Amino acid sequence: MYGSVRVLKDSETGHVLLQEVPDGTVAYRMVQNNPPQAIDFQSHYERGRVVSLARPFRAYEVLGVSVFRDQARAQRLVDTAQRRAEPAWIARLVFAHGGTAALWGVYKERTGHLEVFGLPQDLLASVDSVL
Amino acid sequence: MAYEVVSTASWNVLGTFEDESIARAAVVSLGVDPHDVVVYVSDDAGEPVDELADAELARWAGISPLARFF
Repeated sequence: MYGSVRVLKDSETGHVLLQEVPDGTVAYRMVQNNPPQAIDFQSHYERGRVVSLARPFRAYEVLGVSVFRDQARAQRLVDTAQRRAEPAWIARLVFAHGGTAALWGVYKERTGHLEVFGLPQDLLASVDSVL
Repeated sequence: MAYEVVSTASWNVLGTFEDESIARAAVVSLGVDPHDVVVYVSDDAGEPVDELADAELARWAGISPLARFF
């Protein structure tokens, strides 16, 4: 996925910290509004959830927004929400930032989870359709 | 195995861990209420195999405060 895009690496360990999300990347996110609203693209922190700073190296996980490269992974969250009698749909996103500032994220190939960092309204603008 | 912890307050992944005890300690150390998460379990190939039951997560809520120092 990240063959020719920019990455930020830890200078000591060489581990990839952040990766540029390639233009045209397709991803899926569970949303609770149809049509989706900006609130559907808020991070855990933006939702006003207080988190401990005891593990600051995990901070990105509460500052990012979770999307999945695999629709089935997003569907799993929809199933859980609906089992709890909560509204849930899948939004299909196409990240096409073109000439604007790059979108950065952290991708875990094993789970297909892509943590993206962007303003809720910008992520909302990436919605291609609701499934 | 992989334990993927998702907040049901924001529907964002809070972390993915290789062991249940590590996942549990991470949730507690983040100050997240275990009642507000769902945990998906995947096998070593990344294929979903299970979801931790609410009863198990309720047990997480009773974890020792010492876990906060994990």
